[in-house]
Order: sequence, then structure tokens, then C-alpha cells
Amino acid sequence: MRCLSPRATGLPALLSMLLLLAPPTLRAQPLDFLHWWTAGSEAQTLAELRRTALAAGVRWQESPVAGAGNANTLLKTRFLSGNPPALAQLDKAVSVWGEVVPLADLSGVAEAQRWGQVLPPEIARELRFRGKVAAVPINVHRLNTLWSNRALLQRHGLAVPRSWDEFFAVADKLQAAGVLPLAIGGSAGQKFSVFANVVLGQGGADFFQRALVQRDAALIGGPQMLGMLRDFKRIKRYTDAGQAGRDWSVATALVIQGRAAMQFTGDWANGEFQKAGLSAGRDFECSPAPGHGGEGSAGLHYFEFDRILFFQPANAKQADEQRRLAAALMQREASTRFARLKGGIPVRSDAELGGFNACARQSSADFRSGTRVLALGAQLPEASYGAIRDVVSAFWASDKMTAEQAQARLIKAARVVD
Amino acid sequence: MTTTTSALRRYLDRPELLLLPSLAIGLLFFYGFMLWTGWLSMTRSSLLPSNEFVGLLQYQRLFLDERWLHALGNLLRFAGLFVAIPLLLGLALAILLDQKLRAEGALRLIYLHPMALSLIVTGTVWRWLLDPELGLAQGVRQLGFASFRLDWLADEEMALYTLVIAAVWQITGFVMAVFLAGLRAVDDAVLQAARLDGASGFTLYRRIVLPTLGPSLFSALLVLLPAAIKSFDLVVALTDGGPGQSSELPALYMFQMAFERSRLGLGAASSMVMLMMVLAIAIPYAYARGRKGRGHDA
Amino acid sequence: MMLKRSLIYALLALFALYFALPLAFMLLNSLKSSAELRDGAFLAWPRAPELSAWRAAWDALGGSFVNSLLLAVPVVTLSSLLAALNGFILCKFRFRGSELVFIGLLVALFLPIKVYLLPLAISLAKLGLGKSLGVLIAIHVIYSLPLALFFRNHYLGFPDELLRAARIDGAGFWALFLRIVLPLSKPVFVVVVILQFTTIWNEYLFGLVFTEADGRPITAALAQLGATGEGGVRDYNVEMAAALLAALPTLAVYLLAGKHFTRGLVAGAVKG
Repeated sequence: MRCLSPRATGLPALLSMLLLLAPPTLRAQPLDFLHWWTAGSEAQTLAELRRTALAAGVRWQESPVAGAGNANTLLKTRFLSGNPPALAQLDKAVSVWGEVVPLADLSGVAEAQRWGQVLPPEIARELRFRGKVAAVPINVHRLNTLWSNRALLQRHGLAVPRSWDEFFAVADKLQAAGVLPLAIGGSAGQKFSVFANVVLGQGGADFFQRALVQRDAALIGGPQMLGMLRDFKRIKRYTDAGQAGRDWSVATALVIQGRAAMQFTGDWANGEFQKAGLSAGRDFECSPAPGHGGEGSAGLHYFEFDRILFFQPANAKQADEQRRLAAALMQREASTRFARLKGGIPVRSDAELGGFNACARQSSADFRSGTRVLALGAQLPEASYGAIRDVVSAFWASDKMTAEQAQARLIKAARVVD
Repeated sequence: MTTTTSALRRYLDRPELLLLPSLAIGLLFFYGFMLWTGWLSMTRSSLLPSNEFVGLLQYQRLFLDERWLHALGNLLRFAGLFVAIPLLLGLALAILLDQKLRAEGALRLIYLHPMALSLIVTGTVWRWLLDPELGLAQGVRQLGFASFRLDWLADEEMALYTLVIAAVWQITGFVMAVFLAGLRAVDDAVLQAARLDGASGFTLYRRIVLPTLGPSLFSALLVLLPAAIKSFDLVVALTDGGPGQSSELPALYMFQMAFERSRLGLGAASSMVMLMMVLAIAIPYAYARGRKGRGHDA
Repeated sequence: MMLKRSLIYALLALFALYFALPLAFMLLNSLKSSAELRDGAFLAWPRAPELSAWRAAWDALGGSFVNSLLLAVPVVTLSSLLAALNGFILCKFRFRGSELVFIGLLVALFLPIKVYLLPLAISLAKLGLGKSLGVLIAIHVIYSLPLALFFRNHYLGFPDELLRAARIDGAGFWALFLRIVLPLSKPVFVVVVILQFTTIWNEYLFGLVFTEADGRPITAALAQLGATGEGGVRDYNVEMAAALLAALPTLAVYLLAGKHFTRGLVAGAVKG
């Protein structure tokens, strides 16, 4: 906690008096889990989590807050007010929190359960801060899926596009036939995943890492990126004005009802198709985004994963409970159950896939044998990712910004570090 | 009349001391915390407050950020309309309602009720109504105007005006009520006298009634101006600053940087700039009123 | 003359439509099923009106309804009484620096309270104050101090002679304030109470941060309903019902006090 409380030096006198008055309040005893799993399938996941915790003999408490933004604000104020939870849902790199607050050390559990062997290295690495394991993964979400309405494509004699050239050809034909080629939601995240799909599909995983993660100015400012920006913007032509403020699930509904042909979004859409009674391969298709492989070869797998961050325990008893909970969550069966409830695929590479549909199985196969790329948001500091995402969504929204201008702004955004 | 006030003061034993607790607390909670924010704006604070001093770096970043500059420009456009339209529309409605109508009570309630709804609800419902595909536009198309479009929410130039539509909807009833009160407060004898002099209709309002509405105008501004600068909930619920960042306002920028993007120092710098802007409005304003106050009503 | 009156009625009716439309829209859509809404039937009449959304909304928000009342009623009472007292002193007992206090309040009125969130969290912790309803009430009363401006403006219109006369009758400060000033402040109270009740009832960020999960006010709970990120599915009908449910008390206040609102304003709240 020492690193948190601002030192009195330099602070206004009145305030520093206040700040020095009392010690931080003691942490509540049960394991308190701060999360934003409040709706639908998330609530089911939470119930399963609760059962698992209680079965592991842990004293359990929940602090639900809907919306990642609200939850993160609350988490911050709880640390500042000396009343931090023991666990929290995490949507950023472990290091973001690790730099400012003390975390738990679950390395013992990880070693005993051989997490290093059962988890892909990209995930195992993201659980650590300064060599110590501090987080537990729940499930993996694939982000680079192209969902399409099979009947609609077939009616126009079209197949699911496998490359970006094919995509544009298909989209042009659909549009000429009066069909909305692409359904999209209103959030900045929806646009960014289209951008990521273009960069990954045209430049490959290596280009993506060097240009966007390491933020190589030569690549960001290069001709290849300019072409990608142009293509990204070209995709907007195939979308409709109704996208403003539209929920991703409403966009999915457009594909389900045949009012739009395709959608780029994460594998949470899988549940929507299934709920509507559609079956994968017959009514709808889930394929890697154009240029992302699949069809014979293993596809590129652009993913993020849900995880729970463990903060420094208040006492030995709590530390013991944290370890027991972590071990229970990573049990093979439990871990698989979470993925089935939450959507997506299991994190463990030895998970049984009974009860998962074709889309999830395909995703899992690509995840195990294909190229894995962790979501940009989980790889970059929030400030940098936010700045890049701002440019992408502003470029998408604007009728005036040229690709060259967008590129210049992207170069600037890539320099933002904190 | 200043003399009466001080005479009154002499009678009662220094009641201004009663203000002290409020003053002390207010000073700490408003201005103490402001100072703290000022300090933060000169540190490298990111996720949580830090004490690494960086001078004016955050201000430099702030004014190099197109998003912030754009948000400031938006505030000017938004605030201008958000103050002007309710004032004009509210006055017009008040004058129309003042014509001794039978339905006045019901109409007044209809105009006033949006004040009861939170800006979150206001923003959400207008987002649905202005939705290019589902909302009013669809209704008009179903009426037979097949090519009708209302794409403001998706248009970077127009999105800001959807905020104006919703905000005007929410606040105009209040402004109307304030003006209506002002109109009703005009002395009937004065009106009668003016009528005898041959003034009627428009002239009556322009010459006699409007000049007395100064206090109503002030009351309305006291609600409108802070609401314009503080606008946050409405933006979040209606456009979320979009499309892109085209309808963003400073309060949203501040909140996003400070709380959602782990750029606390930058967020603090933006709140300090907002404070400066408010001071730039408040001080001349209070000075003018202070002079007026000493002249007339104290 | 008839023509002119019909024109006035037509104009007013047109605006009544603009003002009434959103509420009607919410009400209609709260009676639909979520499947119907996901099909995009926002504008249509409900196919088969049902109350399931209202039931779901009540399940989600019912508990926080009482919390909100327990918060709003004390805050509104305390803050408006305090504002009346401060406004009175500020207006009628000019002292060295009273202009500065006026500016200070004016500036405070303009700043979003979100700015104070983090320092507030730290200070409360250092004071050893946890989250509780009492703390939240105190915070809201403090940040409502600028309300004194509304009373100050009202009192500017008070004739000093009245106060002096009372003084000659031997009334002390408190007698003066309680027996003369407060009863004459009824109009401003109506205005301030309505404005303040709406504000406090609708505030959600502080309600979220400074309460425990089961003590959250209704708007914090309401914001929860709408805020699902990537991956969550929204039930628009429940959101509409919940929004209406959360707005019922403030709507009721307007319905009951709306008449007094204008009357209050007429009686002098706008003087100044």
C-alpha cells in the first residue's frame, strides 16, 4: 500500500493533514470478487464461479458492477480508499495493475498444476508479473471470425470470402443485388476489430506485432499500412447508417434474419446464432477473417482471454483461500465448464470439447495448432491502445479524413506511452 | 440601501459566523480537491495518483491532442445552441401559454416533465428515436416517404446536434416555466396602463413585458450554463462522443482519460483547463452583478 | 380572433407532441418482448402487450428503490435548509469577502463533481470513513452547497424594512430566520427541492463508488442494466421499463408539485 498513498510533500497543506490522519481500513475478510459479469451468459459463468469457490471451501463475496469502465473506476477508488478486493476481473495487462498495487503470488499452484504445460505460452506469460503468477484464465474468445448467412450468400451464388480481394468482390456483388453486405455494431471496439482483421489478414501476425505492438514507425508510416487503412475505410461502404449506437447483438440479428450477409465480431456471436436455432455449417458459417488462413491450413487465431486477477492477500488464511480457489478454477473439468457457459473455448489445451459446436471446435483447433495473436488491447498500455483506437474510429467515422491524414495521426498515436 | 444592511448587521450578532462551517468544508471539498487535481496535472499519474513531477508536460500533451481541441470547439457550438434555443423556445412557449388558455395546466406538465428524467434516460430514448434505421426515420418511411433519411447519429458533422435536440427537449420546459413566472409577475396595472396608451399584442410584449424578464433570464442561465459545461451523462448515453470522437465534450474527455484510460495526469490537466474557463466566465459575471447589486438590490 | 387562437393551440400542440413523444415511445416499448425489439420493431404498436419487462425491471431495481429514497429525502431536506440559511446570510449580511464567497459558489456550481471523485475516496479512507449511506448523504450535502445561490437571489428581493421591523419587535437571528425568512422562502423551496430531488435521484457515479453493492441507489443499479460491454446482450424492453420505473418518483414529484413549481417561480424565485 505504501506506493499508493501520495506523499505529503507538494500536496496542499489541508489535504495532507487529512491524508495523514488515519491508517487505511482493514481489508474485508472473505474473498471479495469485483466483476462486471452481470448479464446473460456472464451471470451463468458467475454462478458457476460461485459454486466452484464454495466447493473449494472459500469464504466468498461478490461486488458486481456492470460495465468494465464503471468496474475499473470502482476498483481504483477501492484501492485509494484502502479497501481493495481480493480478486477482480481483468481487462488489461497484468502489469498495468502490477506496477501500482501489490499482487498475489500463485506460482506454487501454477507449478503444482503444471500450467506451463497445459496453457499456451502466450497465455501463461500474460498471467505473470515480475516472474510471479498473479492471475487465473477463465476462457478464450476468438476475435477474428467472419460470421455469414449461408442461405443468403448461396442465393446470390457466392461463397464465404477467403481473402480480402474475395471479400471486396463478394461485397460488391451483394451490394449490387441490394443486400447489405456487412452488419456492424456502433462501438469503437467493433471498428477496431475490423481494422485488426485487415492488418492481420494482409500483413500477417509478424507485421501486426512489429507495427502495432512494437509500434515500428517505419511500418506504421509505410506504404503497406497506407493500403491497409484504405481497405479498412473501403469496408465502410458496405455497412449502413444504422450502425450508430447499435449493439453488436443487434448486428448479429441482422445476419441471422438475412437482412445482412456478414459480420466481423468475436465468438460471443456464436451463442446468438444457436439461440436463434441456427446450426453452424448449415444455416450460418463461421470462418476466420479473410486472409487469416483456415480451409485446409490452420487459421490465425486472434484472441483475448477472460481472467481473474488476484491481489495481495490480507493474511495467511486469505492467501491459502486464494491458492485453493486458483487451483479449483484451473481443474480441467471446471475450466472447460466455464468456457462452455461463457462462450468461446477452454484455455487448457487438454480440454475435452464435448458439448461445443462446430464453430468452437474450429476455433479450438486453430488455437492449438495455428498462429496465436493476443488482442492488441491486452498487449499495449491502455494509453497507447486508446490513442490508436481513437484514430481508427475517427477515420472510420469521418468522410473528410484521407488515408494519408489517418496514417499521420496513427504515427502520432503510436508514440503515446502514458 | 447599503446602510440598511449594515444597520441590520449591527443589530444581530455577526450571523456570518454561521457560514464558517460551510465555508471551511466547501473550501476543502471544492478548492482543496481542486488544488490536489492541480498537483496531479503536473505529475505522471497514470492508473493511480503518483508524485513524479513532470511540470507542464500534461498540458502540452493536452493541447497537442486533436481530440481535446475538437471537444473544446464542440463545447462552444453545443453551449451556444443549448443556451440560445431553450431561451427562445421557452420564451415563445411561455408567451403562447400566457394567453389564458384552457389547457394550460396540462400543456405545462407535458412541457415540464422531461426535467424529471435523468440525462441518461434522455440520451438513451433519443438514441432510439434518432436511430437511422429503427427510430423516427423508419416511421416516416413507413408512412410512404421511402427515401426519407435521418442519419445525424452516424454523421460526424451532425451528431453534435442530436445532443442539442435531446438537451433542448430536457430543459426547455424549465426555462418556459421560469419565463411564464416572469410574465405572470408583471404588474397588471402597468399592463392596463399600456393598453390604454394603445399598445397591444407584439408591441405590448416588446415594450413592456420583455424588459421586465431580466431576472427570469438570469435564473434560467444559472441552470443552463452549468448544465452545458457539465454535460456528460447525455453524451455518454446518446452518442458516446461518436461517431469517432466527433460529438465529444470536455467533461467526457476528462472522465475517459482520468478513469477509463489510465491517463490521470492528462485528465487532471483537462479539469484544470475547465476550471480556468469557468473562472473566466464567473469572475466578470460576478463583478458585473456585484456592481449592480450594490446599486439596486442590496 | 378565433383563427389566432386555433393557431396558438396548433403550435402548442405541435410542441406538446415533441415533448410527449419520447415518454410514449418508452412506455410502448416497455410493453414489448425483447425478441420483438431485436427484430427492430421499435416504432410499431406492441404485438401482444406484456408486462415481463416491467417484472424483470422490478426484480433488478426494486431493492434499490428504497435505498434511493433513504438517500434522496435526507439529502434534499438537509441541503435545501442549509442553502436557505447560507443564502440568507450571504445576501443580507455583507461582510468582507462575501463577494469572493459568491464567486466561489458560482464556480463550484459549474464544475462536474466527477472531478472530486479520487481525492474524495482518499480523504474518506484517511478519515477512517467506510462506505455507508451516511457518508454518501454527507457528500451530497457538501456538493450541494452552491444551491445557496438560488436562495441568495431570492432574498435579494426581500425588503430590508421587513426584517428591520421584525428586529424592532425583538427577534434574534434565529427567530428572524425561522419565523420570517423561511416561511417567505416557500416558492424557492419548491423549485430547489424539485431540482435537487431530480439531481440526487439521478446521480449514479458517487452512488456506485460510495455504497456497498446492496446499498446502491436506483440509478446506479439502472446504469448497471445498460452497461454491458462487448459480449453482453441488451434487453431494450427491460431497459425502457427500468428507466421508467426509476423515473416514477421524479415524475410523481412533477405531477404533484408541477403546479407549485410555476407558482413558486411566480411568487418570486426569479427575482434577483
